[in-house]
Amino acid sequence: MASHRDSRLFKLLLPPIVLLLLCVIACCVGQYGISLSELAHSITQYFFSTADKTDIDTVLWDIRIPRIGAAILVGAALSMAGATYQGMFRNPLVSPDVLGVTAGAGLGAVMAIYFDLSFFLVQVMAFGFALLVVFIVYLVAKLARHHDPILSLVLSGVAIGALFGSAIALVKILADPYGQLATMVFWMLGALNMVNREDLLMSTPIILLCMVPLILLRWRMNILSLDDKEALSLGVNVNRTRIVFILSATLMTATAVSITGVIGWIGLVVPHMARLWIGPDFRKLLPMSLFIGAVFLVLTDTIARTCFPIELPLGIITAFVGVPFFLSLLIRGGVRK
Amino acid sequence: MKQCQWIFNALVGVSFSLLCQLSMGQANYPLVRGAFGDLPQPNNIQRVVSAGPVSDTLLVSLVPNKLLGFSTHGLSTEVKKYFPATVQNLPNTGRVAGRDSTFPLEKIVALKPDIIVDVGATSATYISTAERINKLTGIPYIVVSGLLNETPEQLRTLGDLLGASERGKLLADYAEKILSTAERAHRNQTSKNQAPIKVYFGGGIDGLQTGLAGSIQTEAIDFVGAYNVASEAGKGFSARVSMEQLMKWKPDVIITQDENFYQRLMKDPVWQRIPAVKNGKVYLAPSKPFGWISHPPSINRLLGVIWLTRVLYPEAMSYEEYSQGIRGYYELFYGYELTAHELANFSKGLE
Repeated sequence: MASHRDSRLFKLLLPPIVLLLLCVIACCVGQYGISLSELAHSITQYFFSTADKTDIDTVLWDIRIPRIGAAILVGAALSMAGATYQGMFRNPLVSPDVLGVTAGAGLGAVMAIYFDLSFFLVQVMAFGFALLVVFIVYLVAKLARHHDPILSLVLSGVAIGALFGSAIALVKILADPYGQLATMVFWMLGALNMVNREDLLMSTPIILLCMVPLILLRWRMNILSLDDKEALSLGVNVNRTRIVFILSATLMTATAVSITGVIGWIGLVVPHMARLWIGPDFRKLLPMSLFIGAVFLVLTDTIARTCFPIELPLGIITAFVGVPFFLSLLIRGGVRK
Repeated sequence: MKQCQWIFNALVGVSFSLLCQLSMGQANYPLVRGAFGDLPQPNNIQRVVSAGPVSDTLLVSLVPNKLLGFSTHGLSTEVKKYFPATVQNLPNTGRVAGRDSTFPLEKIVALKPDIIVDVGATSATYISTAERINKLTGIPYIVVSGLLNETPEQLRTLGDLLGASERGKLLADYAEKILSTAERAHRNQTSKNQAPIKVYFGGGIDGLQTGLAGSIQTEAIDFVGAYNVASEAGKGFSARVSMEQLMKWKPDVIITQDENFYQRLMKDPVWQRIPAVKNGKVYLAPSKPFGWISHPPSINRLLGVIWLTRVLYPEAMSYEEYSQGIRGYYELFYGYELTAHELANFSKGLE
């Protein structure tokens, strides 16, 4: 029995430990070579000295660490949102963009790029449109009273997402092929190389704030995955809980997407990895998704910025790294009920 | 059976004559990489369709009165004011070239052009679309190579083929003068045994989109003998790079065409660490009516060559010489007289 508990503890502790190790490694590697002693020097310098910044300090504190921070934040946000949506919709194929968040963010961003707006406005438009789409989807689902509420949410999300997707394609066709188009394509595949400190300072509080209700109410998710009537009989206000979950997950995704672009695959697959790792109990599943998502994105982004001489969109690398790993987990099994 | 033979013979004959025509065209004009259909006599050409943004830029200067429209979408009035009055009212026709064509074929036929002209990349994609569109519409279609150092030859070739030989020669001579002046200036630099100046071209909204060595986006920078720092990341295409790489490359000069990025760079503390920014060597290249460095990569880059020469080798080209070159270009190529104010706007940091 003790060994069983040990192994549970091991499983719970491993992802955070891996994350910590990965962060240290990620700080050390990159296009700009920094040796371990330089790293240590820069860290002590940062806290205990007022000497002028060197280039190494800039690379480490202004470029690399914000980027690693963004990877943790965005990876955690997207996976948590994915796990929430999957639990709520009782559907394993659902990802954070099921309610059209990414299609909306995408349209906002490509339109801002098309009209040559500033980088900040691209982020604002992406964020605004992401929320707008989810709002429209929610309204449509409300109007469709004669269907199962979950089903009508998913269906109107898919339909409106497709509509916005076509609008994105239209803007791409009209864009200047020598400048804007490349920026748009890159944005639609997501990347962390444009994230700076200010972005992180702005988005971290929003994402953390959204995580709070999800973490506090995560036990309710187990009940939500039951039939609505059963849940009601257990004393849970299904509708209100669902709205809180949708709102938090959506706001989190919109914030993440607006600073990095659309990073696909994570929100869909990380919750499954977490489920295979720790089991379906949402109380453990949600924190596990958070850590595994962070590990996954820090890992892929470190690969993205060290293994290639140019920046590749993260959407491509997450798939190339994630698919084999996910398939091996799938084949090897995992926790059985 | 006999009939089959006859058809076969006819087919062979037609393809043979097509081949002759093609090889003849290519022998006389090495820049013509594809010619489909019977090219009309140059003097009979009155209506020309431009296939893409690159050919727009060239044709608006070479044959403004024969051009039927712009393939470039949404040219603003702010841009069009530099063009001759007749050209300003031309419609937006859509792109023909490449796989992302937005020009309805029926509309092309309805416009009754004598010829479709494409300038720029001459890969199999463009050649094969040209052939296909010629077959579908019956309108002659030529594809002309569009490298920067070939600009004079492009102008001469298309001048001859479109019945504007004289104007073609006039523009070509001016282009030649620009290119040779720039070459002389950077040869001066190398004869002094100085290392080439390290330049970074910051494209896109955040400035991290750039052209690698020899890419079409940064041809003008290569041409003036500067060292494109992004060469260290590879060659041939445009790509995204990261801030870390820029910290490593330490460019002496940053060139951009993007106003938004220029503003961002001036404020962002991380960019202040790059030597070029520290030393105030950041230059915003003008982009009206077309980008001077790129966007589109056409003859407009001649302006970029003059501008870059003044930016990089100020002692080899006086401001006087520079402004004469720019004024002369607008006058000759667009028929537009630049005001002192406009010129000063284009030349910030160059006086």
